[in-house]
Formats: sequence, C-alpha cells, structure tokens
Amino acid sequence: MIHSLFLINCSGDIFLEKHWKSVVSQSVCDYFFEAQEKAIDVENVPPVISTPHHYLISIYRDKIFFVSVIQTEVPPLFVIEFLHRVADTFQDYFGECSETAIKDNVVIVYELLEEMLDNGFPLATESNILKELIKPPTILRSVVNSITGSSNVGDTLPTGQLSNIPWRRAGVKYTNNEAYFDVIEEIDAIIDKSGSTVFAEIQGVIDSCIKLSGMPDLSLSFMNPRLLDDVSFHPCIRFKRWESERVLSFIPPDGNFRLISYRVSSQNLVAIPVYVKHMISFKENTSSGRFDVTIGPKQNMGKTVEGVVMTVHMPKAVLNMNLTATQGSYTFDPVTKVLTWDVGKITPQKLPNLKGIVNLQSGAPKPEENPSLNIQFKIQQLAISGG
Amino acid sequence: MAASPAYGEEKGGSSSLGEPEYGHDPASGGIFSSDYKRHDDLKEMLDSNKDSLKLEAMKRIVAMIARGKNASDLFPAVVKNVACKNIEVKKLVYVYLVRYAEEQQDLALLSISTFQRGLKDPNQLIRASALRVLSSIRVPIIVPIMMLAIKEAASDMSPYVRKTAAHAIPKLYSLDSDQKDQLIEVIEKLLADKTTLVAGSVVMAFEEVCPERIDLIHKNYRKLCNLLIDVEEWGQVVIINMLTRYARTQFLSPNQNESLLEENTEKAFYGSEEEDAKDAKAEAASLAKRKPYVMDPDHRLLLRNTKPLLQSRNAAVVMAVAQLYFHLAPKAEVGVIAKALVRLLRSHSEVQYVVLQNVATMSIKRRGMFEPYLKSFYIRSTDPTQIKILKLEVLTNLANETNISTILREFQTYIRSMDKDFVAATIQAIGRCATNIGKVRDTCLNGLVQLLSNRDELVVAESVVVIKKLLQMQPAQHSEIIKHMAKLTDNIQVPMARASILWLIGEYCEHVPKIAPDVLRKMAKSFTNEEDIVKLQVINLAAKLYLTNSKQSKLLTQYVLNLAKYDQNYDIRDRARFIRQLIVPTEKSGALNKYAKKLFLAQKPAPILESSFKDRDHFQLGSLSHLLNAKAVGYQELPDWPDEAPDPSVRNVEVPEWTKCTSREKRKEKVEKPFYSDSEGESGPTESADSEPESGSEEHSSSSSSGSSSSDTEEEEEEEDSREQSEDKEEEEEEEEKRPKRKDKDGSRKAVSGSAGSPSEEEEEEEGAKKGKKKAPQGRKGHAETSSEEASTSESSSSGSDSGSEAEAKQRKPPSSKASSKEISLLDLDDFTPPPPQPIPSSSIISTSLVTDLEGLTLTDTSLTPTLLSPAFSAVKTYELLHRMAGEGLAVEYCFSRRPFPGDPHMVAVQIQISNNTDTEVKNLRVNEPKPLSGMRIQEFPEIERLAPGDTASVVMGIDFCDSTQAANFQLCTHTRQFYVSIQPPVGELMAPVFMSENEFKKEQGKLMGMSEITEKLMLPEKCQSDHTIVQQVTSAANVGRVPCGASNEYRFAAKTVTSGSLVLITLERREGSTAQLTINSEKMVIGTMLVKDIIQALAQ
Repeated sequence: MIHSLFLINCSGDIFLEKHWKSVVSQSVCDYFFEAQEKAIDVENVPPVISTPHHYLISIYRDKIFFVSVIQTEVPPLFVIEFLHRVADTFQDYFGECSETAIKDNVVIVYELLEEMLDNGFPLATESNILKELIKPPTILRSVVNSITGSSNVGDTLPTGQLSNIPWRRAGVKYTNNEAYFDVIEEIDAIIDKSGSTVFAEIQGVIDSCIKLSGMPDLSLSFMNPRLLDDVSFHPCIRFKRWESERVLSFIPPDGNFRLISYRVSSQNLVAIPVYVKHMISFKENTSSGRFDVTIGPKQNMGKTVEGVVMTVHMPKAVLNMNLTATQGSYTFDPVTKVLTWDVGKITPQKLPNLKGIVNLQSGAPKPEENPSLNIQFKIQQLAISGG
Repeated sequence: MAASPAYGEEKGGSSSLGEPEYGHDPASGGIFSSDYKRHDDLKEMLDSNKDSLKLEAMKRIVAMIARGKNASDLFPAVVKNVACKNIEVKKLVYVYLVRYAEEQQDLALLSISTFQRGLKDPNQLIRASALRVLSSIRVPIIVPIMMLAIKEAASDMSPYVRKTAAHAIPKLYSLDSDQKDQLIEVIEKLLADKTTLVAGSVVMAFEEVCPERIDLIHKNYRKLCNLLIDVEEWGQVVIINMLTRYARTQFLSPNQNESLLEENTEKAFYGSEEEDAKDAKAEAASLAKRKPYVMDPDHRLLLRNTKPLLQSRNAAVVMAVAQLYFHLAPKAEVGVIAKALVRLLRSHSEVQYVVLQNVATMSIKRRGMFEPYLKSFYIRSTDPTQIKILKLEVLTNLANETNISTILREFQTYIRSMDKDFVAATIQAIGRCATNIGKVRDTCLNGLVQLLSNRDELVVAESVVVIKKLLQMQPAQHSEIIKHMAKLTDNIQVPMARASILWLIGEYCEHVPKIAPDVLRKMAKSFTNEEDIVKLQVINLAAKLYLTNSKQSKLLTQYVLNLAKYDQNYDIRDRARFIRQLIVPTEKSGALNKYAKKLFLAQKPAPILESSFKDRDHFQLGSLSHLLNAKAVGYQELPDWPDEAPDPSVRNVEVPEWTKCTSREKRKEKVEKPFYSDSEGESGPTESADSEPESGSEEHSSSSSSGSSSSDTEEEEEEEDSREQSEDKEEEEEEEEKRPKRKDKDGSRKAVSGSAGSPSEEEEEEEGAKKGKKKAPQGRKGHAETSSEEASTSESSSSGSDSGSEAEAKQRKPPSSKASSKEISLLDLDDFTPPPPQPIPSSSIISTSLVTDLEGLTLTDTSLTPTLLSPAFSAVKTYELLHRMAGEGLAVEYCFSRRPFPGDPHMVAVQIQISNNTDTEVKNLRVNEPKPLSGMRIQEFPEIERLAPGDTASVVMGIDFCDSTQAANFQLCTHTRQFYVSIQPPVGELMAPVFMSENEFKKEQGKLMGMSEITEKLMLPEKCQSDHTIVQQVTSAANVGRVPCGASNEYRFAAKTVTSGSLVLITLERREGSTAQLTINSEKMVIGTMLVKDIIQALAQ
C-alpha cells in the first residue's frame, strides 16, 4: 500500500524519508514540486498526483507536506486518513508537529513510523499502544537514559494489541482518578450582506481526558440526545447501547482523545450571537475608500463574547489602509492583502469599531465588490445547540 | 560520556540541511579521504562492548538514513550487532538491515540465523518481530526460509504472530511470485481464522496476492461480516472493499426492476416525486414479466453489519461503507450514507477533496440523496479553490426546477468572488444549469449577457464561451446578443473568447448580415497578431461569409487566405489551402465545390454540457482509479451484477460443534465480552489456535461427541445473531444429520428434494425444486472434488428445497413416506430437545434406536461431571481444555472441584478429565513448560504413564491464579505430541467459602464501604423467587458460603479469595415486587465488579 513517505517543508527541502518496501528515489518528489508550483497557494496542491510510475498522495499539516508514494490501487482516503494519524501522533508525542520537533526526535519518529506501518499496511495506530512500545520523550527520561543507558523502547508486547480493547493500555494506575470532558461546539454560518443567515449549522465534539485506574467502564447520557443529528464515535463506544438507549457507554483509552463528534441538524434555527454593521465603499476616481465596521453582541444569553477576530481579504487594488480601532489592534499585510483585527472581548456598553481610509492603487479601476468578512469568536460555558 | 556531545553536534548538523556529513567528523581529513574515514568513529562505537555507545552510534546512523544519506558502508559493522541484547539497539539494527539488505545481499545472509532462532522464541513479541524483519529483507535466496517461516507462523498459537504471518505474505509474493500457489494455501488457512486481529491483515494479503480467487471467500463470508465491527479500522476498509466486489458477483441487483426503465427516462428525472411515480410504474410493469426480487439474506447481512460503521471516526471507513451502499444497496436505502458523507465535509481539506469527488459522482446518479443537504455544499470564502470548484460541481448536479432559484441566487454571489478561477467555474456551472433546466435558460442567458459588461476580462471571456454554447440551442431569437458580442471583439483579448465570438458570427452570419463583414474586416487587419485558435476561426468566418455574402467579402477572404498561406503554423497553412480549394471555384476543383455551403453551414447539434463526473461510477467509488478517472495499477474491476444468482449455499459453513462448548460460552461472557457490539458471534482470540478439521469423516465424529449442553448454548447464540443466520445454521444441522444417508444414496438431487416434503405438497415445493435443479451441476462438481466439499453440496440441495420459512413449517407436517418420517422426527428433536443426536459415520442408516443413542449420549455427559466432587451443587460446569479434534483423539475437559488443593491453600484445584479416543495407547501424559504470567504458579499433576484406548483418567492440578481471571497457559504433552492449552477461571472460582456469624459479617462489611462496595439493582425472574433457587444460583455462580441472616428477605454469602485471602461479602436483598438489590463488598474491586455481573446473570437465567 504505502510505499514511502517524504516529509517536505515549505521551502521544498525533503528533511525525512522512510521506505517500507524497496527504496524510491527522492526524485519522485519533483512531480510534487511541479504540482506545487502550479497551484498558487499551498492549500490548492491536489492531494492526489499521478506520475508515470507512482501515485503521490499528500497532506499539508502544520507547514509540512507529508507526501506518500503509492504504487498500486488503494483508497485515497485510506492514505490521507493515515497520514493525518501520523501527524496526530507526532503532535501527541512532541507537543507540536513542526519541522524542528521532528528533526530533534528523528530516531523516535523513525521508530514510530516503523511500528505504524508494516510493508505499507497500518499496524499499530492507537496512541495507547504506541506509547507502550515507544515511550514519548520527556526531559527527565532523556537525562535518565543518558546516564543509565536504558532505552525508550518497551520490551513487552502491548496487551492492548491482543485484547478486544486495543485502544486501552493495561495496568494503568493513578493516585487521583479524574475524568474531564470538554464539549466544544462550533457554529458555521454564512451570512449575506443584509445580515440574514444563508446557512448555519452546529458541529460539536466531546474531547476527553481520562485518568482512571484499571479498566473503567463509563456511561455518559445526554439531556436531549435527539438534538444530535449525526454522530461519529471513537471505536471504544458501544454502538448498540447508543442505538437502543442513546447512552454513550465505553471503556476509555488512557489520556486525551476525541470521544465523539456530532452535528446538530440544521433544521433548528441557529441564533448567531454577534452582528456586524459594515460600511465599506470605494469612491470612483479618487483612489481611496472608506471602511467602517462595528461588531456587537446579540442574544448572548448573559455570556460574554470573547476572542473575537475579524479577517478580511481585501481586493487586489488596495495598497494600504489607515484605520483606527476603538478596541484591540489591527494589522494589514500589503502582500497578501489580508486585514486582521484582533478585537478581544466585546462589552455591550462600548461596541468595538474599526474605521478609516483605504488607499487604492492609483489608476486602477475601483473594486467591484466589497470583500467578505470572516469573524471568529468564542463563548465559554455555552452550548449553542442547547443540548 | 563521550557520545552525548557528539550526538548533540550531530543534531546541530541535521537542522542545517545539506551540510556535508564529514564536516562534523574530527576523523575526516579531506573530501577525498572522507569516504574511507568518515564513519570510523561510528564503527568504533559499534564495536565497543558498551550498549550505550552502540545505541548512540545506531541513533546517528538512523538519523542519517532518515535524511536520505547513504550509510551502506557501515553494513558489516552494524550487522554484527543484530544479536545485541539491548532491545532498542536491536530495533535500530533491524531498521538499518531492512533498509540496506537489498544492496548487500551476501552480508545480509549473516543475520538470517538470528531471526531463525527468534522464530522459535517463547515470547510472541520476539517471534513476531523476527518474522517481520525476516520477511522484510528482500533477498531472493531466502525465499524458501521465508516460506517455511510463514507457514509455521500461520499456525502459531498467538494471533499476533499469525497477523504478522499475514503481513509477510504480500512481502514474499512481491519478492517471488512463483510462490503464489503455496501462499494461497496459507491465505486460505488464515482466512478461516476467527480472530479480529488477523481478519484485516489476511484480507489485505488476499487482495494483493489472489484477488481473483473469490471462491476462497465463500466459506468465510458470514464470519467476516460478523467480525467486521470489531476489526481494527484499517482492516475494515480493506474487508469492506473486498466484500463489495464479492457481493457484486454473488447476489442479484436489488434495483433490477428499476434499472431497465431508468436508462430511458434518466434525463426526465428532476423531482423525486416524479421519480417515485415512475418507479411505481416501472415496478408495476416489470412485475408482470419478472418474478419478485427477494434479497439474499447474506446480502442483507452485509448491508446490516456495515451500516453502523458509517459512524466511524475514520473517514476511510465511512467512505468504504458509503461506496458499498452505493454499489450494493437497494435504491431506497442508499440515502443513509448522505448524512455521513456530509459530516466528512467538516474534516481536513484533503478529506473534503476526495469526498466531494465521490459525492459529485453519486449526485449524478442519485440526485435525491443529497438534496436535503444542499446548503451544506454552499461555498465558504475560506475554502481552497479546488474545494470550491468541486462544491460547485455538486451544486450543479443537484440543481432542479424546485431549487434552481436558490442555487442561482447563490451563484450570483459567487460571481463577485475575488478568486477568478472560481468565478470562471461558476459561469460554466450557470451554463450547465441553463442547458439542463429549460425553465431558467432565458434567465441565465440574460444574467450572462450582463456579465459581458463586467470589467474583468476573464469573467467576460468565460461568459462568451458559455453564451456561445447556449445560443447554439436557439439562435434565432438572439441576434441582439450576437450583435452585442460582435462589439466586444474590440476589447476582449482572451483568445478562447475571441474565437468563440468569431465562430458565433460566422455560424449565424445570416442573422447579422451587416455586422459580420465588418468584423471580418477588423480581424483581417489584426490577423497576424492573433493567437492560433483565433486565426483558425477567422479563416472559418471568412469562408462562411464568402459562401453567404460573396459580394462584400470576396476580397477580404482572399486577403485572409493569403495571409494564412504564409503563417508559421502548419495547421493554419493547411486549413487555408483546404478552404481555398473548397470554396473558390476553379476549373480543377471537383464536385465538392457545389456542396461547400452545405458543408459549412450545416445544422450543428447543440453541445451537451455535462459533468465531467458522468459515468465515473463504473469505477468503484472511493478508489484511486475513480479519483483519477483512469485505471490505476492493480485496480480490480467492479463486476456487473450477475443475471442469475450463483448458488447461495456455497456460503453455508459447517458449524464445528466443538467450538461452541460451554467453556467457550463461559469465556465469552466473562472475559472477552464482545466489546463493540453485543451480538457478534465468534471473536474468541484463543479459539482459532486449533486448526479446523477438513475431512468430512472427521467432522462426523466431532459432531457426535458434542455435549448435551452445547446445542443449548448454540441456539442461544444464534438467536442473538441474526434471524437469517440462525435459520441457516439450523439447516446446516439438519444437513449434517441427513448426510450419511445421502452418501449412500449417492446424492441424487431430485430424490432428496422430494424426500424433504411430502408428495402431496408438490405445488408448494415447485419453486424449491426448481432451484435445486439449477444448482445440480455445481453440486455434482463439488462431489467430484474433495470430501470436505461434500458437505457444501448436500447443503446446497437442502437450502434449495427448503428455502424460506414456509418450507420449514411444511416439514413439521406429518409426512407420508417412511424415509422422510425419520428425518422429520430428527428435525423435531433438533427444535425441541437440547441434545441433537449425531449419527456415527459408519452407520449407514439411522436406526430406530435413536432414542437409546440419545440416552447414551446424555449419560456419558453426566458421567463426565464427577458427581462425587460436587456434593452441594446440582451441576458443576465442565469446560473444554482440548477438543478431541484438536487433540487428535485425546479429549481433555476440566472443572473446578471447589475443594482445597492439597499441599497449597493458595491454589485453585482443577479437576482434569482426560479421555483417550484414539485406538492406540497414549503414554507419558504430563504438563510441560508451564508459562504462567507474572506471579501465577502451576502445580502439575503427576504424569500419567499410559492411557489405554477408550479409557478415561481423572487428575487434579493446582493453579494459583493470583486472584485474576487471566488464563494459565501450559503445554500438555504425550509421548508423541504436545498441545498448547489454557485454563481460564471464572471469577467465582477464585474464592473459597468462609463461615462467619451475622455480627462478624456486619463488622467486616462496615470496613469495606465506599470504593470497595458495589451495588446493583436487578429483577428476579419468576422462577427465581424461591429461597432455594436464589441460594443455589448464587452458589453455583461463585464458590461462596452462606451466612445466617435474621431478615427473611436478605441473603448473605461470604468467601475469601484463594491467593490473597481478601474477603468477598455478598448481600442480596429482595425488595417488593420482583426487584432486588445486590451488594458486594470486597477490597478487590475488579473481582467485585466481575462477580456482580456473574451473579446477576446467574439469577437472570
């Protein structure tokens, strides 16, 4: 299946390669670079590239391209999903999935890749199993290892590998038994010029951090499970129980993991907790324009709206912007033409406002359309679905 | 330590890429000598006897490999360390070896013996990793060694090693494809494996080595379906894709009735209501011709068992199920996948990209499926362009008369986007909507014409191209638009757009007689500066004008043709010559001249704007080939549905009776409870250690030995499973009983199907008989093959004759012929009495002494349970240690005698019953090499010197389970063979009763509160209301003693765990009605929890 893997950074250096079958020359990546050049920005590089002898399937994560070489038919999602799992594992082990982290831990990376695939077929991808095979690096352990000469590699077969519960390692012990669940819900909405919602849906996840000894068997029930329109589960959840009783019953993995992700049906009307008043205009023949945006909260259910960030892709003709913000700070990148306004918290008494002058290229025709505004914000302690 | 700074330096080097390696090496002199010297320090470190130095060196070498640097000259130094004790050094040496063995084959051979030794290691991890590395070394000389190792590992006791063997198969196959036949044998064997661990890997091997051998799947089909949900996610993907192909060859199309009409009326489908109406008509029409379609239960099984996987977190699994449903499910059921696919659109952009491609293909075939999710495909300004374009494709496919206005409004917004590629795609999408939906054609056209005054040239150009296509459909009404476009030639520079305009003017020059020559005049002026496609269209325009309006344009045409004659491009020169000959009449020109006008101004069919995803579904969805729209290497075609269903009975499996013995059931409940689903059947990890019997005669003997209780449990299991399955298995059982007889009759098919029912019911029987006939040729072939095949052939006849439930009912009716009467009585027995009597293969006719046979069986069964040792309890459960099939005639059972083990109070006494069913004497029967887990101890039983054929011996051995339900593994040896066996204690057997007073009990209970207390509520079934049964059930579930109690509605029991002597206190309090509360106090929480479950289960029965 997966023949080889190349890790490539943004400047086009191949900084790691691993082969599971016979060696494929680095030159195969030239096809990838070609495609990368053709696509103007990184996110438009096609994930699947066909070359005369191989197929290249790649993902882009944290400024690294994971390029895998395939020789025969394989479901592309299989490879993509696996590559993301690899990136997740690096993240899990080193705290970040960056080029420096990988280079600093190249031996562990290699050992991990060796365990994760055998002959190109995934072997162990559960983080609990991998952590038993290869212990993640910590400062303490690296000191101990350099003194005692002991290794990061476990010498026993992870029991999870053999059991019906491969995601949990055996013999877990904690002095404080704790379990945390984070419910994170995201609204995704498209709002038109006049402020009416074109489309909105709620996506949620429950992330868990379980530190319990032994083999805990947990159940989690919901006040209103019918809200959850479509759910995907971590393999630990007993599907039958959910089907019959709408209760999440599971033996959790040890540590952090995503328990479920769900979608709340879009039939329910979603109340968007913020509104935006905007006034953007470009004057004909004066090579300047006005920009005035105000953000305000609405129906915030007594919770404060925080972490508000607005990003705007301005038209190409825009040279510079002279703005004043009543709150937070703004930056404008003249190369990418992206305006970012970091607002912070919204207080209803004093609404944040950003206004000023837009300088256009002289002689250029005025931009036809106003740019679209992207607004991100957070509300703590509020489940927007009401579930 | 000297090594650590060196490594630090190395790391520094690695971050600045491209710097030469020797720069950091103090030993290296210059560029030329570096090859010889640069790795000297590494070699030294590898030769040292300190593990830490070796490790450091290996780490540096691996870092070099990772960066793609050549480290092959270190091969001799590294390979020496292959037997190193330090496990990390060893692993890194393996990494190195696998990387460079291909280049240094001779040296690599030095390491082989180490792996061969590793293959025999008692530790399964070492066996597995030895096999893994051995098979990864791509050296052709060791092919025979690899083959041998794989064969051995395929029958290893550990499922993990067997999994590794499955992984090794494709490796060996890629090294030497001549081994295919032998490898297929191994695959066949591993396919029969019942563990979830092996299933995914072996199917992967099957797909790589012999995907065409679909016949290997038959027997394993149902098992794979049932195991699927517990297989790890990557295995699921491979299995589902394979089963999709399998199902396409084995079942009938569920949409066969619709598919005929669909082809003709496809274009007319816009609304789903309309579609439904048509479907109904189609069905009505076809009903007359066709017999009604009934889905094969196996087909249904596959659909049902894959459906929950739509909820998987793994996008690849979801996609695999989606494509399975798309290709296999009846039209009405395909809809379920839409929701899951829409969910994937929230995932990483690469996932979105692949999913949208597949959705695009699906939405052409099944528009209705995604219509409710239309808005989920709306484009966000943050989407990458490639995603936007795919979403646009889906939106266009979904457009119909009801939603077109919403979609067009959305498109209007998109046109204003700053992403020009996307705008161009949107304009094309509008064009497609306009051609597909006649109602909005004018609206779209007007909108596009407005775009012609857009300031962006690209937008205008794209609009021109699309308008050109639209105008072709009804040119007459649109001369205004053509005039407008003619004016655009002055401004538009995009060649494609210019060419389109020129073509339009040329084609419809009669509608714009005044403008056309003027355009030609302008174009002639700028001819030399135009792009090639524009030049060609100028020539084209000139020719058409010459034919229609030669008076005004003759000279212009001549001029253009002359210019073209000397053009640099040969196509243009060629075209000019050709056209001149064709249109300008000369004496030489032939007959064609007369027809020039007809040639050039013929009616041209309007172009059909259709999706690039049309007909892509002939590739299996979700595959690489589908994504690329080209056949990838190794792609397996998705076969078309067969016209007639192949014999469904090939999937019937001989149910090996002995796998369902009580021990198995027990184990399943206690330890490896099927985790994900509650109902799946055979996922015992230890079960498949024993190989399945292959020859028919052996199977007869096996079935005859099955205990009375076994069929009970079996039926329960079946009920849990699916209805269809249980029916199948019942049929199989019937078959087993019928078989010996049929053998004598030489399996004449007709006679059999006749004998199953009474002759008076022949009309009803007809259909079944027909099926039977159809299958006859296949059945006969099977007969000729092997004896194991025989089973399937006889089954085929039966499922042919008694398909459906009516057939079953039929069989219960009083029969008329003598032959059938016996069989039916057998059937009845099977249905209503627990022990199915199994005929002995040698007896050709089932005698009337059936009942005595039956008694005999039950008698032996009870005698096996040593009544002596279980005075207090009516039934002590016996468990199977070694089945007589696996033990080659040696059958071993065990039970927990609940007596203290003499000599060691911390051990649990296990009573072992060994019976010799072979015809030779078994000697030197003993326990060998106990491999207890940490802390576990085994006290072997004294060696049995000899055991005569037919004799039974009973011995006692002691095992200290350390208060855990982990299995004790050991070998049972005879003078010739050794068998790996394991004893797994139910939690209730890990304790011994203690006797205490009520006060003592309460005092102890007071100490064990809080965490140590487990309380559970339960319902007592009616038959379990009396004191006696409650006490009996509790004491049978666990080895506990009763504690006297004042209250009449309370029962108390106490015990101590055998090893640690921790108290286990059980309180059962009956409440009003039939509810009760069970409380267990024990500091061993695990034991407490497990015990609660066991007791509740015992009481519920």
